[in-house]
Amino acid sequence: MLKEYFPILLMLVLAIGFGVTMIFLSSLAGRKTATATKTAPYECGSLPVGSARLRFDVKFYVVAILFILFDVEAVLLWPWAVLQAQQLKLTGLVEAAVFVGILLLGYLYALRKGALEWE
Amino acid sequence: MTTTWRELGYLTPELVVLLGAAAVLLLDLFLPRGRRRVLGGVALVPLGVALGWVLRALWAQSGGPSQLHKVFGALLLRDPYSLGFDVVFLVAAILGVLLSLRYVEREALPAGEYYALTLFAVFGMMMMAMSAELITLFISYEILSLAVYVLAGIARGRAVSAEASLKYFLLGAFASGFLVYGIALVYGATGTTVLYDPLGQSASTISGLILERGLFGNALLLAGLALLVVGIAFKAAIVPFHAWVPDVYEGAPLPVTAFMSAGVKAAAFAAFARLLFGGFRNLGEVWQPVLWVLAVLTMVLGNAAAIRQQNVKRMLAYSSIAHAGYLLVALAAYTARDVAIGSVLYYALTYTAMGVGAFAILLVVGQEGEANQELSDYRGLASRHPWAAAAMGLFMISLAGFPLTAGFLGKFYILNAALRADLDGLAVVLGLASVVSWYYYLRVVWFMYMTEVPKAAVRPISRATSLGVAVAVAALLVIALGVFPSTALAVAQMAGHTLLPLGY
Amino acid sequence: MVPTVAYLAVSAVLFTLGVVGVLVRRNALIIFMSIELMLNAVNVSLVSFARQHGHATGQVFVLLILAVAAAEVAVGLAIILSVFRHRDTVDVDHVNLMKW
Repeated sequence: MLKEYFPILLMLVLAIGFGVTMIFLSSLAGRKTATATKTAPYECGSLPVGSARLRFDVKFYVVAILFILFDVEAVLLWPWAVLQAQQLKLTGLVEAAVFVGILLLGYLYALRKGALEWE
Repeated sequence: MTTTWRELGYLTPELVVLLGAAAVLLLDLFLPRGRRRVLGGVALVPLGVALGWVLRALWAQSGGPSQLHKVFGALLLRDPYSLGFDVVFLVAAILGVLLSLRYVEREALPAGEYYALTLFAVFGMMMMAMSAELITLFISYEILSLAVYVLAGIARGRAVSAEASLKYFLLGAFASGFLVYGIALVYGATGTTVLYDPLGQSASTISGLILERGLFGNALLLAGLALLVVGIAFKAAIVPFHAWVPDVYEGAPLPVTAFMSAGVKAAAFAAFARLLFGGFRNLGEVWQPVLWVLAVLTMVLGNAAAIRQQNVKRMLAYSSIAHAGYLLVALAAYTARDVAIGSVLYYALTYTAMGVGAFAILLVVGQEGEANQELSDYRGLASRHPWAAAAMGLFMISLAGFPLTAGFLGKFYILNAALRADLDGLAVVLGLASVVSWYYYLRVVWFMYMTEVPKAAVRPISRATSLGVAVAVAALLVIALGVFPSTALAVAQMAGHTLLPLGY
Repeated sequence: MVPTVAYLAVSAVLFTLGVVGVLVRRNALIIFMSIELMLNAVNVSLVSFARQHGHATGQVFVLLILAVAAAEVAVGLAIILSVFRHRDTVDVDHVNLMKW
């Protein structure tokens, strides 16, 4: 039953094996000269400043929250889009318009409440 | 598309409440900050209209045969059962808004969001009572929950409110995870999510398929049922899923607590009864013992914890757990379902009146920032403010279940159902639990009437008209339901019968 | 063909991981992520049931769960944020003005 999955397994083993072998070989054969410049992160000239675990501005949260909401509502349009052309005809179009209209009201609400203003 | 305007017409009260919520939100955008207090009044309009519609529909059916309509296929059922619970939700919401009018202004809460969320929560409750299909049930459960999570934390300035909201949200979302998993397993076992068909037209429903395929011992189905019970028991504040109740009730703004303790619990029980008596009625022997145990645990622990409380708000929170236990007794009495369902509905209405009434008095006595909620703040209330003390006394003896009050008859009908279902043990526990509850309810009365305080320590009370109206309405309901119960009880029984199979 | 039971097993394991996460972790955000894991575990079993029964009810439910989960994320993040403003922490052990 699982036979058709064998090639995938084989591919997986080969890919992982190849990667591991190459890393191992290069660490074995490569030259290591650890100068101060080389050990610094990002060999591009600028030293890292401060911690990477900064606290982000709360405004990002508000935008992110709104994004998630409107992003996922689009999922509900997908089954409608698949069936619209063949089956739903005008009724489906009107219902989708009502749905999007409600979302639009929500958007206007967020806009008017100032949720999208950066300052 | 088979949806017709007539089907939408059956949803009139729900749609009115929903449009009311949208109207409040939009008005909030365009009203200047100072004028936003009118929003509370605006919110009362759709609630009142919906209540009128529902009462008229019930009145029209009270004499003749009950009417039952399927809406959107069989997703929703417009039957006297859902109408009866709509009355409970709408009364709770109207009282809740009346309590909020002054409070929202005093504590500077965002009025638009507050009233809109209240209306959304009511909409969720009404849909929950109507839904006869598991997906619809889940969606309404979430509409209700999300609105109430935010309401619990709407007093953003107070740390306890935010904390109550966080606890409620985390545990609530956890419980809804169990609920959806339960739905998934039941769907897997039966291949449908429709609970039952009261008109007997379709056999491919959960209750029909259990009989047809003999799924009585099906592991998937039983596991699914167990998870569903967990998910709803959480909302209904049933031990051992009650950990959030005292903290959330204490931390949430008082009017929200009042609305929540009555409305959310009634909605949970409405869905619970429809689930068990409708979809899983053929598995009664399986779930009845479970409810038996849960009912005993809930009554015993709720009362035991309430005794120790010095804070009246927290005491009422624990006692509301105990009342959930009394309601569970009625659900466990499934062999006497012709009276059991009606007694659930009747008790939900009486609890709404007396519970919200008691919280209203807390608001009358309480001051800004939710001060004055300790038992000692009720010292000598009778001599200072006799009317407030009299109303509080009435609510307390009704909650305790003394004769001539609504609480007594509510308990009486539940006991009646339990005895007819041969649940003598459960009836005895209910009786004993009530006797224990006399202690902490009557203690409040004792503090009000039998103790005195020096004049200097006398504190003022809130005298807002809206509060007075709410207290008066609740008190009248308690007396009316206690002294002239026949109409309400007949309607509740009729509503309960619509849940039963045809020709029962 | 992989049998339905295999998918159900994966789903049950994921769900259990989510439950354990909620019970053990103390950071409100991570508890919240565990809850989302539970919901997605349910989605896996719903899709496999839908395939087994050969109709779309289960798949439709998955879409609705996704939408509800998004709403939950929005509300949840806002609530966690408002707690953070008061307490400067999202560790549920430190959120204890009232007894748990």
